[in-house]
Amino acid sequence: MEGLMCRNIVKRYGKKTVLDQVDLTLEHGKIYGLIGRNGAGKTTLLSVLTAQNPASEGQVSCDGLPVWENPEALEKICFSRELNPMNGMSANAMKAKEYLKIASIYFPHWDQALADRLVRLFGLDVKKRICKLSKGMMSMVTIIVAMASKAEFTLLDEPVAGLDVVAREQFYQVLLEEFQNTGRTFLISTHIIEEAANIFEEVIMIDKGRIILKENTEDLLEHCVCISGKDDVVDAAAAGLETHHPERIGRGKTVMVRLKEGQSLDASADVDVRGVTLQQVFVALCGEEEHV
Amino acid sequence: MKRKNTLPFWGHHILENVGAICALAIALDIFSFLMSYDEIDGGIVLFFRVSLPTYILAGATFWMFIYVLGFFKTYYPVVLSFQACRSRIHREMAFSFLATDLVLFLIMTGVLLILSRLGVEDALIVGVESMGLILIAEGFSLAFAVLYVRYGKVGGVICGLAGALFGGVVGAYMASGNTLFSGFMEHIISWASAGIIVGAGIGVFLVGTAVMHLVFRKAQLYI
Repeated sequence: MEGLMCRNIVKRYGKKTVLDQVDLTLEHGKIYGLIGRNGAGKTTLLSVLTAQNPASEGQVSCDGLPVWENPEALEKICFSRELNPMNGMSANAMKAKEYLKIASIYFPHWDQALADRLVRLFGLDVKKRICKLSKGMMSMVTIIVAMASKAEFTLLDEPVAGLDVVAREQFYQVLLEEFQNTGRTFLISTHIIEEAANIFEEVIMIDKGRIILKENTEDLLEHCVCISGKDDVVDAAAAGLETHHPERIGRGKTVMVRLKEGQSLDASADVDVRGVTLQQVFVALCGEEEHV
Repeated sequence: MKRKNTLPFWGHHILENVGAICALAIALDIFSFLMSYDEIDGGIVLFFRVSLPTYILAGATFWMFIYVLGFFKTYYPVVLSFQACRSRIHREMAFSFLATDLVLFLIMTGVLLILSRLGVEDALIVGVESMGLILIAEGFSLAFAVLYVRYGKVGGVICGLAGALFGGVVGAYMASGNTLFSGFMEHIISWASAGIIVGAGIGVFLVGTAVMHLVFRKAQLYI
């Protein structure tokens, strides 16, 4: 089974290119994290993968079947996107109960028992109109749809936006439980990286419409280190290695080093070596801009 | 491939629309009666017998216009977000309109038989003609929906003006206590005219559906 794949995806809005030659494969039975800065193209990528937005160029397929206008492929996919509280119409005009009812009709593998359990767990008032829900409650609606859809490929766009820390923990618990029970593939885009880092088997980083990294999370963190010390010593230790995000600290310097296969740091170098978090890797790779 | 039965969704909308149209027709009829009370001969019963079918037709064209615009703004993005197969949604939507029209045809024919005391054949002919006119209204509504959803405020203004014009015509008709439309319909009660009107209705409906499908088949989904 090939998974959910996109090849040479380009998406343009007028003259602006939002996605640029994106190749991505989501395999069965994994939890992926999708992280990127605001405007990097995360939501556009997710909507193109799920046929809610046509690509300007390129193809998307699910287990070998083209996704666009193909019910057989689309039945394996669920894209639960963030509900927009600023939109005066659309889903916001409905009651949460009606929204979930429509979801139960259109997702062929819908699990009503799971949906009911999650409604109780989150304490969601389904009789309220969606536009009257708090941002956190709106996120709960999208989480319930994603989980209860039982789709093989479930893509969630910022599901924890607006959730308090307790609700976020509940979400991660539910996600892991569902993953262990069903082996579904989840792709979660989030800005709260450190909380979710332990859950992501693979992390995908997108920057300015391009995938800059897709790697096993543990391997990535093993191969990234932060070295600090005197300028010349750090430069010497990092010579020939991929470095990112140099920062001055007093008379010294710190830099993130990304080691490739077979590479290592010089053990005799007089530098301080520390591990990095996924958030630090992300900032180092995607945050390299001139500071004003 | 597991297919889900979406009939509960569309069936709910069909019943809601038929109920709303009937309620609207009765309300318009009562309102018209009250507005033109002094000019009516024959009393309320005769007035309802003559005018109710007209207001079912007026209510249906007005309600379906509003419904189509509202559907594209509210339900269409939601349904597409759950099942992003546009051609399937468009097909189901078209069939739901036709199903609504069929139910309205049965109601209209029944009203004509019972209240207007037309013969069976004449009632069927008028029912078919009415369905043709509703199909024309739905075809135009689908085309207006494209304007409304795709072209934002400009489209909304055009739709608003069209709706206001139609409402104004109906309102003026109601205020006059006129049975002009009923009289007109009595003169074209023939299978030939029914065939022409329903043929035109099917044509406009198909064109409206085609325009809607061609515009939305590659549209980006916004929730």
